[in-house]
Amino acid sequence: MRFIKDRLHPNGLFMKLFFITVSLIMLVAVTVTLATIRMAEQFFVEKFSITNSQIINQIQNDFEELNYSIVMAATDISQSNTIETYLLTDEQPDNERILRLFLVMRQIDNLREQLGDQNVEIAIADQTEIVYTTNFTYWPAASIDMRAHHITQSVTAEPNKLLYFQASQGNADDYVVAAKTLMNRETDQAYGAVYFPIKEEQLRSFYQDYVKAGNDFYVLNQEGKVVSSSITNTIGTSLPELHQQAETMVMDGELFQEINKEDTSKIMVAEYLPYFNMYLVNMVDKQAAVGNLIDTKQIIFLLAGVVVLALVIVFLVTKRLTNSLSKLVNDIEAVPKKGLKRRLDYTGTYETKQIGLAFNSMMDELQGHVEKLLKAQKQQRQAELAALQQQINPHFLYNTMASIKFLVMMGERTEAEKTIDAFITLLHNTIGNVDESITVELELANLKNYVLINQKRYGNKIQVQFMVAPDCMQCQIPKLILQPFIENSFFHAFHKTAAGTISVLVWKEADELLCEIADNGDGMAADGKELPNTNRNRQLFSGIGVKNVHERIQLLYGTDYGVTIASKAGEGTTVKLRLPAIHTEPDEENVI
Amino acid sequence: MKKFLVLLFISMLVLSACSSGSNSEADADTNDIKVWAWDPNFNVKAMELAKEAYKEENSELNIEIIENAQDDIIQKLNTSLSSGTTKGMPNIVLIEDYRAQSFLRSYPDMFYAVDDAINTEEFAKYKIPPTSFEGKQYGVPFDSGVAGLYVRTDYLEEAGYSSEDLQNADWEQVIEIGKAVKEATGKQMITQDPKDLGLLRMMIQTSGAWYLEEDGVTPNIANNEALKEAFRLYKEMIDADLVKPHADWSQFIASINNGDISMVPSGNWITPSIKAEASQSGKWAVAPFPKLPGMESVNASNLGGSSWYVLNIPGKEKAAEFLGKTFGAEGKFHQQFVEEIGGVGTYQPALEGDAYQAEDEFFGGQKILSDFASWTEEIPQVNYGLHTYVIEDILANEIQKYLDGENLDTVMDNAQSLAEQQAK
Repeated sequence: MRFIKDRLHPNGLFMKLFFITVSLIMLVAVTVTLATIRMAEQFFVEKFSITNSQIINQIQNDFEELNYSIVMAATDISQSNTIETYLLTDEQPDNERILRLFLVMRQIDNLREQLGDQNVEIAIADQTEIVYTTNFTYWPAASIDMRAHHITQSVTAEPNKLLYFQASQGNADDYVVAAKTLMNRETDQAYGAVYFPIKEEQLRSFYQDYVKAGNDFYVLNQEGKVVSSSITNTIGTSLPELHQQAETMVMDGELFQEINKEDTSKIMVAEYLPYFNMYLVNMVDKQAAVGNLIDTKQIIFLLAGVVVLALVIVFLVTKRLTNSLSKLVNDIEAVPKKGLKRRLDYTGTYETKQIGLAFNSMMDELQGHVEKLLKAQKQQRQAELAALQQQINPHFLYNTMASIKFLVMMGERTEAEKTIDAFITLLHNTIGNVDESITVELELANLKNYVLINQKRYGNKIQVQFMVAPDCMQCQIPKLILQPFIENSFFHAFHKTAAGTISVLVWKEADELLCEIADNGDGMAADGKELPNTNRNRQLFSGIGVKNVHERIQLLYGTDYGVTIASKAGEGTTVKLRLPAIHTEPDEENVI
Repeated sequence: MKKFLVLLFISMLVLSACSSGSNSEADADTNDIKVWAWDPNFNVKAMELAKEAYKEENSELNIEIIENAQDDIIQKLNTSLSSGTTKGMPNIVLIEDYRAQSFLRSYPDMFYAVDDAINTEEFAKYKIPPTSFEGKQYGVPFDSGVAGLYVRTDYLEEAGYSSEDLQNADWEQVIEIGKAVKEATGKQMITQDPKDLGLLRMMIQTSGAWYLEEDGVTPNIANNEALKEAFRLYKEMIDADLVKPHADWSQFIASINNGDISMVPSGNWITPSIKAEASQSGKWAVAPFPKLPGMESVNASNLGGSSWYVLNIPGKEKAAEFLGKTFGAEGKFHQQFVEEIGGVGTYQPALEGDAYQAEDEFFGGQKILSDFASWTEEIPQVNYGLHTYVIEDILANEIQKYLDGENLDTVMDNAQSLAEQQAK
């Protein structure tokens, strides 16, 4: 976890960019797909409904044709004198009736023939019962009292109309019966009725060709009863809701309607069959009709494929873009650790290249500034030191001059001459020589002169020994680097012990030059590791005190070098200088 | 009875639905045999019995019986056979004898001769001409359609007659009795559908005459003395107001069961319908069919009757064998046919069986099956030919004119010329 986080953290930009892009791609893909599916569905539904309403019109035509042929037959029957006479004159002897019956049968048979192949039969009834039917297996299939029959009662109430009724008989076939009262035109008296039992299959045959799974038809009468349907077990049942919808649709002139029933969505097309006074309703399962057209699975797979592909591309591109940035960030972060000399190396995009370039030039400038600053500091320091070392203490000068005067007064001419020589050489080497560093040999000569002057002033109680390895003679050391320690020993180490020896040792160890100034004087307490600040001492030779030596060495040669002091009260003090063994003039540029 | 019909029809459907599994007609070695028949009460039931009986013989044969209206069967046969396709056709089909020749002549290659499966000698002779063609036997004769005169003995008694008076009677005598009965009881003699001349067909067959010459093609009307006599008798009955009109089957049965008429001249297949009115038990008798007066005629005739035909499609051998071993052989089937359906067959050896000797209490203890069986043997053999129903249509029209008072010869001549035009 931590590993991943660490890995991802530098990629904060990448993660953000990637996730935003991914979410946007997903959003766009899903939105576009949904919108497309919806539009396609609507398009299909519309097309489908148009086609279906055309089909419905076709079916409607078939219904009307059937109605027309029935109307024609009904008209012929109602205008037939033969039939009227036969139905009216019940009282005639049978031998006359049988002749008339034959004529009636003939006429009706002919009319039946004109109806053609359709599953429509004709039955005529007088006011009590069916007198003749062209097919006795059809409705009503049993001799029943027609007066009480609801169909007869309905047509009697509307004598001039041909009306259609639904007639189911238990398990037997379902029928739609067209019926009309037969009326005498002059007397306005009903003398019978004509019935046209139509097999439900006949009505079904009008739309059977269009029936598919999920595409069903219903013919509903005014009571909402199913007269004919492709779902045969609904025939004879009541569907008032559907009827209500059909009625509203037809009234509003809607072409189609989408109905969400239970959990299925259906497209409903309805048409009124005016002569039948029925509604033809087409219900299409949207899933079956449109669902097949839109392969949701395929779309989802395709979509998923495209999204994944897009993700891969986005991942790679974003990674590439942000990689250069994160590398830049990493490198910039590393700069403080690795020093100002580090430079960035860029192959990324234009922007990152520019940033790299700008960074590099900034770093160049910065480095330049820092170097200048360091150089200036060093120069300042050197100037300071130079100034210090040029500063010969005036006390030293007049003390020394006073000593020489004393020697001259004493008449010790030779001694005075020697002292003046040493003083001249010392001044010449310290003030006259402007070089920073001098050879060990020259430094030793200066020390000897300084010691000589001091011995002339203070006597010979303090002896100074020089033990210098010959190979060190030509090594370069900073000017007046040893003098302050001898001076220090001279004036501080021998308060209790009146006489003693100061030893100066110089030798080489590997690349290092080691100088040791040891005295056998008073020594210091254990904690007196720090050299006393002797700057303000009037007896000092120059402005350079022991305190400065350590700083000076470190400034010149780095922290590896410097001064260490070992001292014990009553035993003396040993000061050890560690310097690089430099035979040639040192290259100061390499110090930084 | 209707309810019973419906029930039977439904059970038929269920049965056929159950057995309609695999139908591979293309397979020559098929074990699936389809049968088409009409009338679930009689024909279909008989086929069911045969199917059951045949199971002992060959249990592998899967027989599917499909019930269709007769008109539908005719229409489907005509449609399919005329276009030469046998797809969806049954292996066995029931065809009415009157129509058989028309089919055999029109589609001779579509039927399979059953000479090898049955012995024509063993069947009632009158069944052979309609079921054979050009010397080959195509139909397996089924029911006889033997006709009788069903009479209400109670009505007859009221007029002082008994069924004895109708033995060997001719139509003149019968009409006399009918008139007397009408006078005594007010009941008419017969009921008649003016379009259906079955009565006339029965009448003329008693004298061996038919609408056509013996060649089965040439109309025989103008010089057909039997037909003229039948016309005359028909008019006499109508003029005497002895005929109650009916327009369809239900009205026909209603007239019988309501006791509106005293006599029913019809084929023996009407027996179940008459017996359906149980309250009339003991009031009926069956007399031999009356002969035509004044000419050579016998007291036996036929109405309807049909035979089984095998179509020339894969499975024909098995179908023919099945028919031969049931309808054309002695065995359990014929016994059951009589006992369970009350049918009269045309397979002579079976007519002597014990089942035919049963007395029927509904008919006053009369052994009607035995009587029918004996009359069957006497039925004159005629060739129904090709155009029975075409000519009957013409005659039904023409007889109206005669009834209306036109001269008989004129009417017959007119019918003859119309028939010659239409029946070719």
